[in-house]
Amino acid sequence: MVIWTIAKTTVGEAMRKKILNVFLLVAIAMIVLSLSFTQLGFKQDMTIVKGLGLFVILVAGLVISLILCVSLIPNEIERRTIHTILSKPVKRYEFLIGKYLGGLLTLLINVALMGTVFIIMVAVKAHFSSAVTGINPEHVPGGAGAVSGTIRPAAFDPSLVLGVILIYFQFFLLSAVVMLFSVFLTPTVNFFASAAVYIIGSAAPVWESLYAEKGAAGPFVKGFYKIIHTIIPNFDYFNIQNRLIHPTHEVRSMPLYVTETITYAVLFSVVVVLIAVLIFEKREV
Amino acid sequence: MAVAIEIQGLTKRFKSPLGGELTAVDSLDLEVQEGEIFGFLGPNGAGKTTTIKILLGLIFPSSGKASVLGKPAGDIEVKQRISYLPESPYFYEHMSARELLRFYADLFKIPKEDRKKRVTDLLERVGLTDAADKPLRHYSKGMLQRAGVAQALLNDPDLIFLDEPTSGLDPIAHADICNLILDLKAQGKTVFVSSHQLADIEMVADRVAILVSGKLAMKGEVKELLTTKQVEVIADGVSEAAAGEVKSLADECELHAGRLTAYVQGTDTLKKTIDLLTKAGASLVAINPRRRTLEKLFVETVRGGR
Repeated sequence: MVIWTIAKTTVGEAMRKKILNVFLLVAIAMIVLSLSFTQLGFKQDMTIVKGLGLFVILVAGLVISLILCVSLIPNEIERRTIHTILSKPVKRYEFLIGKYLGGLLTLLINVALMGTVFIIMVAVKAHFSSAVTGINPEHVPGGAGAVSGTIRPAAFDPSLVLGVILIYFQFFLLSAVVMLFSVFLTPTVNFFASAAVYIIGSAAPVWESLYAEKGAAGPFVKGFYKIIHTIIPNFDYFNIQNRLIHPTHEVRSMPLYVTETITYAVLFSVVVVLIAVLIFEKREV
Repeated sequence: MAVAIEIQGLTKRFKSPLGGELTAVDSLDLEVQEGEIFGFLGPNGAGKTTTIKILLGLIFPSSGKASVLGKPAGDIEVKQRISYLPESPYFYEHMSARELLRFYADLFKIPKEDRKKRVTDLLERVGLTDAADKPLRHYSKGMLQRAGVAQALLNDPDLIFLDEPTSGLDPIAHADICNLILDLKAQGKTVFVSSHQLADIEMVADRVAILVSGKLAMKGEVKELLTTKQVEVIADGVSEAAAGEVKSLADECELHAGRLTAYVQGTDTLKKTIDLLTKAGASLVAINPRRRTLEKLFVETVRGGR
């Protein structure tokens, strides 16, 4: 109950942050404006709408999660609001998890808003393209499903929802890393450190190939690559945009892949938040 | 009477990133009895807030022990029975006072059926009923302090920590806080108050401790600390010659426009002074036991302790 109380308050405060709202509005505007690509053929236009939409959600979500989460704990300490909270019967882990949960809920609201607009825009694009060209997108590789004259459930592409869900879980994991850093780093240092972790984690296949490659480097260098690959979350798992934009690419069972990736995000986040809790227990406020 | 706060050899050192060290609290021993108002005094940087933060479990001692209501400082069960009003309290500005109190009531796990009544009663008690639904960012300092007082009373605490509760308040809010402290004492609560408003502490506190550079410089009952062995004698129509004679008997003596104010010690000296003045034709205006102000005691202690 205490965790939920703190989470609700965190959402209430975060949703009033003007800078986050500006990012959200700009992102939504860009997703809507992607509809204006009508110069190319249906397939190319749809590729642009999907590609741009997913990219905008990814970048906006990344910026929002970094800006939001780097300040969740330091702001409480700096403004001394934490003093009146922790002097009450609130355990430190309840406070930290409450803040994390609040950050996740705020991100969920933001990603859900962007994702909903994105999926509607893809459906609208499919509808109007079929109306203008007479092409049924269901018969076009990369089409959005059967469309004939009106927006119907068939225009809804469930794989895009899975893509948006994976983007969200990417931030779920990143937020845990940011929370861990926020327990002992300043917001500015945390911003850059977390961004670095994200970039390194997104390049996981590079590290993987470096330590797997035979004879390319000495054992120490390979060991270093292996350590990086192990301790830094693999954000590349969540990047399935290409598979969604070009469905002709071979993909094994999408629901299974998404389930595995979400499980990875949740388990990794639990471990990271546990470390944050252990450090925060000894943190002086 | 049971002990509400017990501090033994408490020391807190802060380390700087460059390897330096600052001792904020140095081997502090202190006991606060249940039901008393305890004034915790000291100049800025003396270690008052650090001590309070240790007692609340917000920071940890470098050495020594501190217990609150019989449990180690920071104990989660004890936190259900204590409360804290920080200096210049900061709250979530997007909330109204009512929302703020509901939030803290949830942290105290106050059942929902009691919560509404308690919040409404407290808003009325601190005079915020009319502004209860306005966001806190529109509140004045005094109103924020009232909201802070309300959150500190939500759990009907046995022990309340007040850190500079009257600083920056207008006279009305100031008087309200002093009355509140006296009300709490009447209800049998223990109040641990840190303040620079020495006149307030002198008025409300049973006992005080003065901290200088992290060390305990003085502690005791206010009455005892402020009472002196001197007696003040005031007389009108005193001549220069008579004043000269009184001066030889008194510890201090001043003459302004025929009014003499002298401070003497001991019954014999007092009798001699009165006889001398009477014989000189002066009229006695007042004879009072001399009482120091807490401010004077504080200044002397702090200057002596540095």
